[in-house]
Order: sequence, then structure tokens, then C-alpha cells
Amino acid sequence: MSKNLPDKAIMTVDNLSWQVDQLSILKQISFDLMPEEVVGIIGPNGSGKSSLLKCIYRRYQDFTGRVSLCGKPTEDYQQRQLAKNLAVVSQEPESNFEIKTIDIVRMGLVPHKGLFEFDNKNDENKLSQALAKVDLLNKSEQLFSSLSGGEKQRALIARALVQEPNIFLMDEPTNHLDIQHQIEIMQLIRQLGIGTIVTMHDLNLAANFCDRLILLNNGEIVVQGSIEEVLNSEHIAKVFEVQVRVDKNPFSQLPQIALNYHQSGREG
Amino acid sequence: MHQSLCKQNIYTILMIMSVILSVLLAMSIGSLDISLTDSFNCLFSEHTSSKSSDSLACTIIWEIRLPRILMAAITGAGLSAAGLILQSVTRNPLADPYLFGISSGASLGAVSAMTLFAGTGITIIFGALSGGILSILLMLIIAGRSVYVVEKLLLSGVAISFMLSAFMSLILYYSTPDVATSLLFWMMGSFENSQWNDLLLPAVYVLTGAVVFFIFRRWITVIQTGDETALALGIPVNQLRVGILLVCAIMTAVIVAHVGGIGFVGLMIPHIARYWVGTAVQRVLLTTILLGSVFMIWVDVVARSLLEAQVLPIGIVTSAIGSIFFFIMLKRRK
Repeated sequence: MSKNLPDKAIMTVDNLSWQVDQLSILKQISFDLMPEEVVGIIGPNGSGKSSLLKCIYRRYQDFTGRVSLCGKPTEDYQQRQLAKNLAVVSQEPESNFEIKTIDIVRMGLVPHKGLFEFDNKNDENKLSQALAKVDLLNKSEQLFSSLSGGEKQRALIARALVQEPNIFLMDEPTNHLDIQHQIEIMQLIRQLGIGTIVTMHDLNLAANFCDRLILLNNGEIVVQGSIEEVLNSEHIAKVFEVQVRVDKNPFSQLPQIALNYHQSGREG
Repeated sequence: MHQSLCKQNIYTILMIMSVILSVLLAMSIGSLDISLTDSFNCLFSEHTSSKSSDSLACTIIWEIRLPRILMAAITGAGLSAAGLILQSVTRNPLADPYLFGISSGASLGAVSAMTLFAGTGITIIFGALSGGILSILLMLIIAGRSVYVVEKLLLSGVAISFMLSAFMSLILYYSTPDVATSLLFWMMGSFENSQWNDLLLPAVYVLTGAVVFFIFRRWITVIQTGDETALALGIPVNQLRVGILLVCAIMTAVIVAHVGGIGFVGLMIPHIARYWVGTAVQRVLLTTILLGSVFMIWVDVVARSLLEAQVLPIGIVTSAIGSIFFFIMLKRRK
């Protein structure tokens, strides 16, 4: 899946640490993101994956260290400017109000539109193109809540596309999806050709669709690098406390993790 | 997309026509029967007819019915818009100016002005405004740092509402029977005493509020889906929410100062409008305003024509219709 990437990083995370009430959530995280690169962040529950994304898009602002976009620290961006560069795709919470899919996607225009501006023909075209790209054009008038899990994720990706960002931040986009839709969403992310940081739980999916992986545990980077460097039985056994065997996927020749589902206790 | 836009435009045109038609029909209904033709003639001619009966009809229409019909329309529009926006920014389908204590605060302010300072006119408006804004400020202070958590904000609002209602009951308790009776009637809402010169202030505030809501329509729509999404899209969620609460408080307070407390409109009209045109604020705001106007015009018609030679308080009619609507809504809800 790796390809020749331009060598200038579009995002740099440098020595990022974040704590809440003396409790360290993230510790000295550093990594780069290249254009069009898909970087997967993996790790057990509570390892700090989502918190890291939230620090990057400044949902949490009281971290130390620095996050830079195209060489400029994120603290120097206004929140709206940041939203033009970074699009976040996370699980949409259940709303008390029914909203149409087209209106969910239309929200992607918000960072680009002034308060006194009306939507124009160009905006409508943008919405149609984004919906077409995620194959939801025929469902634009349906209620968002009536879409399937995979369709909902695609609608959120369409909203992110309308933002026209340089970087996608995706928080577990394949959660609660069946295997067909997991593959479909990850293929879509790859096709977009936008620098993406994606948190994931499915290690085999991460192996097949990410260019690089970052393995987090207790808020620290255990290892980062190529799929082969990160996904070995030693790292996985240590971080997830499970017995694993790493083979090769017969189709992609990339690492494939087999778990021992009948291990006794959490002995690694 | 175009089909939906077309449907929305049809609704808007129908609603505008309904408002105009409601105003015209409501003019001819009342204790003195005035035919539609006569009402229409009066409306578009100087009421200086030589025939004394025509002159009386025109005087009733121009001096009594039209101001109260327009006040009803403004009230319905303002309370419905405030309800819609409060429901949106708190993501709570039960939110309305009453839930946050805005109405209680405004009523307390107005009642205090009436009784403690024997105020009339501008004093009552000032009292209601102060009360409405005080309720929001108290809510923000009590919520403290939790002001950013919608659920805690709502609970603070409910607590404030009860507290202010208790103060109002205390004032009523210590009032003389005559004053208490007139206060009770005032609190139940009425368009009875609406004059032309009363219309300007509510109209200006409701229009200003509606314009503010329209300007922030995109942001408010996003907040409906969650603060996380709104923040990620660059929206200053907390400042917006507090600002919108203040606008709603001022709008409601001015209305309460003029017509008393009228419940349920702010709660139910937004739900009906959403059912018709969807949730996005850019679609539903105008429909809510127009529907609120039509509804309140007809509530007023019912209030003044249901019983012979007697005008029912508006609050009773809206609450009665509102509760029936609520039962239906609960029944429909899966």
C-alpha cells in the first residue's frame, strides 16, 4: 500500500503532552504526516488515540508541545481557519432532531461561508460532487438517521470533503460496521488521496490500508513506522496483552495477525 | 435537492398566504359581526364613512381588532422562533422560554414593576426585560463552569424557573385581592389591551431576533448535531450559545411585558414546522415564524369567541391546545 510520497510533511506533531488533573493522558508524542499519506493510530482502549486527535484539532488546547500544519503552529490558526485545513470525521452522536443527509453534508460549507453569505450554485455543485464521490447522491433527501452505519460514515466523509481540507482526522471510522462496509470505508479513504490520520481497532484492517502505523499505549508511542515494523507479535503481545501470531496475508502479503482466543489469563 | 427546495418554497408561500388570510378572517370575527367584504373595505379605505354603522365597524377593526391581531401574530412569531432556537442550541426538544425561566423571570420583573413600583407601560417593559435577562444571568452564574455542558445548563434553567415562580407566588400572596386577580389575569396572557403604539417595540425586537437567528442559521443547525462537530467546524460554540440565550431572553421578555405569560407556543410550533420542512434552521425558521403567527391569531379568535360576552385568557387556550398536541406527539413518537 505504501507509495512514493512527497517528503515535505503537511503536519508535524512535536513532543505533544497532555494531562488532566495531574493524570498524564498523552506523553511526548511526535510524528509527521506526509501529503496523501494514511497514518493509522492503534492501541488499546484508553491508550490516548482519540485524545491525540482532539489535541490536533484543538478540541483540547491545554497541551504542551506543538502541532504544526504546513509549518505553522495550530495555535496561530483561528478555529475557523483550522477547520478549513483539518476535517474531523468521528462517530456522530444520536440527535434528538431528524436531519436530512444533504443538511449534514452542507455543514461542511460552514468554515468557508461568511455569516451573511448565502449558498450559491457552486456550493450546491460541491455538495453534489461530494455525495457522488461517496455514492450517496440518491440518498441526499433521506433522513441521516435512516441510513445504514456504512452510509452514515460515507455521509460524514462527504461532509469532510466539502470542507476541502488538507488533512483528514478520522476517529474509528469503521466502528460498528460489518466487514464489507469496513473495507468499503477504508478503500474510500485511500481513494481520496488526502493526508489522513485514522484511529483504528482492527489491526488487520490497519495493516492493509495504512502507509504507516503508530502504536500507542498509556499515552505513549510504543513504536511507529512501517506496517512490518509495528505489527510484530512482540509489540502486540506487550501492548494488548494477548497471544498472537503474525503471518502474511495471502492476498496483500502484508502482516496478518492471528489471535489465540483460548489463552489462559492475560499472560502475553 | 431541487425538489426539496421547491417543496420548501411552496410551504413558505402557503404560510405567507395563511398569515394574510388569517388576519383578514380574524378581523371579521368577534362580538360584532362584520362581513368579510366590510372588513376588507375598511382595511383599504379611510374609515370616515358617512354611514355610522360602517364607521363603527371600521373603528372596531382599526382601533380594536387589528392591533390585537397583529400583536397576536408578533407574539406567536417571537415565542415560536425563540422556542425553535432554544431547542436547537440545547439539543433538547422540550426547551422553550419557560423551561429556562426566561418567561418566569420576565413575569416576575413585570409583576414586581406593577405591584412594588405601581408601574405602567415602560416601567413594566423595563421590569420584564430586567427579569428575563436576570434569569439568564442567574442561570449562567449558577451553572458556572458547567455552562458549557448543555444538560447542566438546562437543569440550572429549570431550577431558576422554579425559584422565580416562587418569588412571583410570594408577591401574589402578599397582594390585595384586587391586585392579585388582575395579576393572575395578566399572567395568563391577553391581547385585550393591545394598541397600535404597543406594537412597535415587540415588532422591532422579534424582527431583530429573527434576523440574528437567520444570520447564525448555519451554526445553529450544526450545534443541533453536537458540540464536538460544531467545534471541529470552527464554530465558537460557547459564545454562540450564551449569545443566543440572551437574544431569546430579551425577545421573550419584551413579549411577556406586553401580553403576559403565554406557554406552549414556543414548545409545539417548532415541532410542527420541523415535521413539515425538516430540521435545518435555514429551512425551518421562516416556517416556524409564520406558523406561530397563524396559530396565535386563531388562538386569539377562539379566546374571544368561544364564550359569549367573555374573553378567555390566551394562556388557557394555548395550554389546552398545547397539551392535546403533546399527547399526539408522544403517541406518534416511536
